[in-house]
Amino acid sequence: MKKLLAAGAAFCALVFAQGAFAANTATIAVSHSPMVLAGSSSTTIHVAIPQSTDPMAAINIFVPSGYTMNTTQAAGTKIGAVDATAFSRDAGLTLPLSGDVTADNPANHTSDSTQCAGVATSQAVWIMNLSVAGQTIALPLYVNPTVGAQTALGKFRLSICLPPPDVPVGTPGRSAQGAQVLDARFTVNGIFTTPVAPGNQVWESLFTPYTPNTGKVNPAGTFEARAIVGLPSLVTIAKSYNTKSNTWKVSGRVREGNGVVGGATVHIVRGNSATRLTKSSTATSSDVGTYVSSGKLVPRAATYFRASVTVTERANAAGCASPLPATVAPAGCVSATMAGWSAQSAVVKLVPPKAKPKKKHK
Amino acid sequence: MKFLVVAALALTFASSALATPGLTKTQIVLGATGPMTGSESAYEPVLTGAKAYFDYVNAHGGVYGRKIVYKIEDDQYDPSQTAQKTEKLVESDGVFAIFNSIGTEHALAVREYLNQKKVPQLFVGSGATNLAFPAKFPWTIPLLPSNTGEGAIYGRQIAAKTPKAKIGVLYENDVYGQELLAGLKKGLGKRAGQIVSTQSYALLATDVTQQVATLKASGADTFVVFALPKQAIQALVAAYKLGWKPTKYMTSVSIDPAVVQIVNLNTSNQGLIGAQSMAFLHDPTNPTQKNSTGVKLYLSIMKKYLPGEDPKAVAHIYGMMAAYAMVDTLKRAGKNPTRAGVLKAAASLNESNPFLLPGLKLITSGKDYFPQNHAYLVKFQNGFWNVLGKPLTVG
Repeated sequence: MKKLLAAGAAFCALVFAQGAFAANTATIAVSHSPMVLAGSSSTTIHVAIPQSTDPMAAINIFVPSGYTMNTTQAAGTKIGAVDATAFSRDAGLTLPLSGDVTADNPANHTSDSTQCAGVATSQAVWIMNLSVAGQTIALPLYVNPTVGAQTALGKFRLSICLPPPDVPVGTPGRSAQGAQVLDARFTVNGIFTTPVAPGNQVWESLFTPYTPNTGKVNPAGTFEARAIVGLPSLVTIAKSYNTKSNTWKVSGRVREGNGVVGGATVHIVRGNSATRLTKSSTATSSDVGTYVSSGKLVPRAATYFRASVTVTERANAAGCASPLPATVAPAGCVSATMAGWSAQSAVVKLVPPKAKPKKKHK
Repeated sequence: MKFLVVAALALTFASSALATPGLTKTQIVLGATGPMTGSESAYEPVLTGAKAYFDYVNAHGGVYGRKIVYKIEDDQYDPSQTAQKTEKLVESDGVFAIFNSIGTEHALAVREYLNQKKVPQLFVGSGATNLAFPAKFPWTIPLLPSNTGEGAIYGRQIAAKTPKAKIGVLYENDVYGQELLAGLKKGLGKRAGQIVSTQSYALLATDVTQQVATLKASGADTFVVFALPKQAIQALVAAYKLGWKPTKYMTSVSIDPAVVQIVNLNTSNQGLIGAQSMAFLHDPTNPTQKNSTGVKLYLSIMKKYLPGEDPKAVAHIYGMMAAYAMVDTLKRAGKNPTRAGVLKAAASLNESNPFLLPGLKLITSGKDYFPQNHAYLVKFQNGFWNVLGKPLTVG
């Protein structure tokens, strides 16, 4: 009994300790469309921050060194779109925000760029035009090449600074509506070119919170989150036919960088022409990424097959190995997230051979 | 000599036409007030949508060659500011007419002044009964369906479909909310006694949670929300958080897709399921309406003239519907319109408007200034407000 009480007390202590030291956290995921090497027409960066985490003052995202960037867009050019949610403390509601991402002239942002990115004239400034119910908040994102020690984190740095939402209403610099960003997914087109070498690309990011209810930045609370992008990510397809049983079989593998994806649902569509694939079936990839699907076919009728897969963002338990030093991220590495992505295989054509006629017995 | 007299008379008439405030050979200046900023700025698209339609008309030659200039003043939804800004539009800017101003109290605040000045106060964004009062205020014509008529539609529906309903009502404590409530009672008829609780809120209230809790505690199983978008969202979210699942009726000014999106986000998509309302406009987000002429025209105008604004906000399409009616009115007033001529045209509408749902028209007469006499009942199902049955009489 005494032991039970002691165990209970220890459990309670643990629970209270967890409550008292509830750690800040966030996730970041990066994906491309398509997930190919030396290409990509669009790149999506997805940041999610729980409402219970202290409001963020700054987010710095580092682009891995294998990437190249095109930042030559003229001011006013639409380069993408953003969808976000934010909790409005004034309304007590979570609000959807969405809008275009446009390039702006860095010369118009010397003061705010200095304050946020530490560079008077950023290489590029992108404006995220977040609107809800007719109101728009223009949030700048500063793009700069890394210098000094930061080059170890990546080739370019994307910096966003957010106003405090939890200071009293009327405080200068408070965010509109007391809005605290919870989730933001922004996509830019024609900006990033993916690396040429296959493998996992790690996008480092640093999140620096405010000390709650003060509007003061808390550098000691800075934590690291990682986005891992496996390149290339694809689904392969191969076909075969069993003439004895008139059975088709397609198989392949779901690959991600140098690894594989298990447990993914693969959709196989088929039809009588390469452009009309109307019938479908599904298979689940194994632990080694392979999938198989089969069925009956009428002999001699050409059939086309294509596989597609959508892989969701996933936490990578081992992804925070070798965290950044405490001098850079005092609050440690809190998450590593594998990219969510979609891919289609090539279309394969199967023409079942004519079955051999059975020999007649004399 | 005869020629000279005729020429002099012609000149007199011409100069008198050209002397009409806000009218030149090349332009017609219209003015409006509304909440461009502030807590009720969700209505801002009513004004920008109208302006976008005027831009479209201007790009296609204007009205008899005149471009429409639309001067919008921000009143922050404060009737005292409406009065100041309207006076500025009339006295300083010299507008031809006030068109598409937003709000009941706001329109009432300037109605007497505009009628004394004989400045048309056209297509006011309000359904207040006493704004359609041609005998006393002939220069004022509203555009929204009458509040009383809308309330009566819900009352009749409740009486017919759920005759044992116990009804709780949240309403705005002003002319708008009170008229909707009066209409509800009228539509319920002998079942009006089944209203078990009514709770009101002030025009710019920031929280209605307590009122919703009181309505739930009353035992009501039917929740009628006569509230503007901000308070309507709060009410639905509060009901969800309180675990209250009544049958819901929503006033038509609060069924914008932006409202739907916020309610869904805060109620795990549960807050609006099965709710009913009244609709007269196309919904550009509803896939069943995407091929209509009005939605296609709306989206093309949004793309060209308001590329940075959200086309999902139905308030834009409302603004375009109003602007279409205004352009139609100006055309019918002739090549050299006067204020009186425009008023006469506005009071004799019989217009098919592409932004309205099929089968609906804008019709006015010297005796009936409410242009919208029919509307559809809609029900929120599968993520959209879907039209139910045939048009119903508003009233």
